[in-house]
Amino acid sequence: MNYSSDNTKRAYFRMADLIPLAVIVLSVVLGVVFLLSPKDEKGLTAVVSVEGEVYTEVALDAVKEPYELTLHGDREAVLLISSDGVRFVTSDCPDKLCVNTGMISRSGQSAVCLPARVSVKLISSEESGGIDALSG
Amino acid sequence: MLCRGDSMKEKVMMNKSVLVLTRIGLLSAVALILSAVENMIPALPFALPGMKLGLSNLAVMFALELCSLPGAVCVVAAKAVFALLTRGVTAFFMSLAGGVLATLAMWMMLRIKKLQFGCLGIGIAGAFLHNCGQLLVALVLVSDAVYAYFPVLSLASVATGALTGLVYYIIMPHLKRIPLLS
Repeated sequence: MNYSSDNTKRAYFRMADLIPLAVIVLSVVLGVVFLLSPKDEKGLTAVVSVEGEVYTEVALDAVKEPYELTLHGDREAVLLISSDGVRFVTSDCPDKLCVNTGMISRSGQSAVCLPARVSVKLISSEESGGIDALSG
Repeated sequence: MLCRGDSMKEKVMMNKSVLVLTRIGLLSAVALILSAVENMIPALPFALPGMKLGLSNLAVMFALELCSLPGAVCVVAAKAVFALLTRGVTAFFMSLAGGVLATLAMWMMLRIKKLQFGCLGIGIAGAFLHNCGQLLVALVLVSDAVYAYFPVLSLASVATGALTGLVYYIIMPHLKRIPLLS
């Protein structure tokens, strides 16, 4: 078949062009959501440090019921530890950065309360396939 | 001068298969030259590896209009063989998968008469599906981490596809005045 038989010039833009555009935008959004969604990582361990020393290590898989852990650093801070992750519930500090960090649930993430000198970091016992960085 | 397009066209049209073969050869050569030229353009600082303008898609778009699907697939195959010779097996499969997917999509868009697509839509669909095909092959052959490229490459394909569509829109009427291509 010969498509050039009609000599009408194909327009640059037609309304139908919005269809491929919409498909691409949708797949980009889905791709980003998929990339940023938290993964069910196994073997996460929360390392809680107080005043620079490791205070305790909690294997999150072993946590059945979420519980609160009160830490007495320079100031008082309360951690909520659940099988999904860890977050600061309250802290006796002025800026509340640690509370605003929210739930941390992936290996490598950490939440820190500097005024209280309390930090919690998630480490993975098994190497997961997540991407840390891409460089070209 | 008697050398107007019509008489020449008649002579050429006497042998249709020779015409088709010539067009495919010509457009394959154009595709290879366009990718060679494209490689000379310095990469933008923020560009990821594998991000290209996709100018050789122009030749495929032209092949679709002139020789329909089989001709366009031949051009894609020529591009892939060129990639095999110059850049290796992985590049061959990536080029082939991307090219075939893009060609099928653009072919369908040209065939659907109810929906008239413009050059913009055909350009970006071709660029996007070329990326998809390449990423699928890269997922299998290189690493499953390349899916992280997908959103960035897709957005880039909108820009590069719009550009190739624009170039196509501008040069198509002029190229169609060449007797061999009309």
